[in-house]
Amino acid sequence: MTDTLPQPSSRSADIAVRIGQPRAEDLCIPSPSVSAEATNGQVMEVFSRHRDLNSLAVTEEGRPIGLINRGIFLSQLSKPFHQELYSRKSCIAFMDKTPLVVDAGMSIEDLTFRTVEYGEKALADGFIITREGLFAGIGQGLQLMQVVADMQAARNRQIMHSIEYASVIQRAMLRTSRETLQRALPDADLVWEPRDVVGGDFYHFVARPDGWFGAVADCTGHGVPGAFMTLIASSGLTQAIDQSGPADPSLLLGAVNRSIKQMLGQMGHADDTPGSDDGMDAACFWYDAARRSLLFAGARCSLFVLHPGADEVEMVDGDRQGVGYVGSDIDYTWRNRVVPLRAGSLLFVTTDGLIDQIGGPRAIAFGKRRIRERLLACRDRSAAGINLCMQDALRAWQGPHRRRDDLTFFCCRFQEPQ
Amino acid sequence: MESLYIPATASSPEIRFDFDRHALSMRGESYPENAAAFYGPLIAQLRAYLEGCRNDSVTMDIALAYFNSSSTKMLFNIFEALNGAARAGNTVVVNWFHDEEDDTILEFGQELSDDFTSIRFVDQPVKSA
Repeated sequence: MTDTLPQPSSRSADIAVRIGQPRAEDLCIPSPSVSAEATNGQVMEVFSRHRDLNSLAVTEEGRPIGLINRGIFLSQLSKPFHQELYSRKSCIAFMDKTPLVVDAGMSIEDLTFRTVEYGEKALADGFIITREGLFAGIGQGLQLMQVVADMQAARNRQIMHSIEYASVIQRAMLRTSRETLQRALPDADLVWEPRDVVGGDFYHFVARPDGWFGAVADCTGHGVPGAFMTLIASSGLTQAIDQSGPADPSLLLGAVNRSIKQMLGQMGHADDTPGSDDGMDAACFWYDAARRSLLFAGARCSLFVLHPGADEVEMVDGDRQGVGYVGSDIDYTWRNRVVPLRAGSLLFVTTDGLIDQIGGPRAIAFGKRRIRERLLACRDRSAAGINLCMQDALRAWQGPHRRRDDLTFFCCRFQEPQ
Repeated sequence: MESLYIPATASSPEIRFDFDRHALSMRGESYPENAAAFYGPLIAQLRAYLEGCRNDSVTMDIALAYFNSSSTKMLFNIFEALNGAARAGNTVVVNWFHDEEDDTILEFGQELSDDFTSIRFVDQPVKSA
């Protein structure tokens, strides 16, 4: 009979920080075992010597043939006359003949699937770990769960660190525009809330002596792929403004359309790389200070305009054509629309993150109607106050529902000419 | 043709394409992380089925409470395929279900019916219980 003393168990936390994929051997607790010839009396002795021992492996020439569970064994022997009857007999009588046996080299992922497949027994009694077929020790279900949880947490942490750093880059790209906005427009406010740290919405603002340009855009996708798209679209827009100036929104949308299609090879690609059919919805507008009007071109986006004294919020719809995408025409021209403004006129622009958010008692979209109602209700506040009002309304509407998309909305009030 | 059934998840709709009975349906919400991966294979099956249709009467029930922009693109592809089958002589009816108060989904349905004129488009507002 062999009876090795168990050594201190390896800590799962140590395993998680160790480099390399953890394996079954990381869970291996060297444990006592008995040979098949051992009697139940001897097993009893082992269990009383090792108070913490839950399962005792039974081996034959070093190879595991079964596992004795402490609880089951003790309750069997405590039955009337069982001790007298069985204590000199072979320990095989009360052992589980089909425990889970795994090789020390098995990956934790495979081990987890095997354990779950095996059922409760493997989680409660543990499993036998072997090296080259010979008994090496016992692994515990609880410790396996700990290692899996640690691995999961480590993976999540790694992904989140990567995304958080990506967010630093995405916010840096947007910072100049936000500063322009603060400098050039005294009563304006912008809310930009990616659903997953980074997102597919972006904005762009440029101030010139004769007016200012604004864009609010929603690229297909959210999260990391959405953020990739914002970099492509935003640099396309920046380049177009550098070349042609910011005063013609239609021309700028056309330029971004071409740059997305070219950059993503959306005009028929030769190889088998999965094609990108991505693009964006956008509102581009140029405020002409001299004419006191807004020139607006929209791709699946609308403007909400509320003039002082007006009873209703005016909707200025853009074209129904998105920017980019395989199916769009490379030469498509978005229409420029002129929106006359007065001192005190309010402009509100949003991506579909606000319009389409599911909520309310019937779990339906927030919708444009509720946006118009909020604008009318909060019209006397500052642009920042109106945006706060909109955020409160959205929060109340969303309730316990999940946020569905990235969210960007912009509000500003036009001033008396200086 | 073997029918296609994909159960709904939190971010993808239930798909029930019973090709033999010409009864298709999509219900739930649609904002999968990879819309092309979700819709690509099912649109391929839909196209293969529609190509085999001759003077058939196809019904598509759609009850989607939410879809993101990449899913919208995929819906357009589905409608394109259905519209093509309608132009080829089949009768294609789309039942567009939405909450009676949900203007956003209603509006989107109207846009679809404006764009795909060969499909018989039936607006189906659903009253609250």
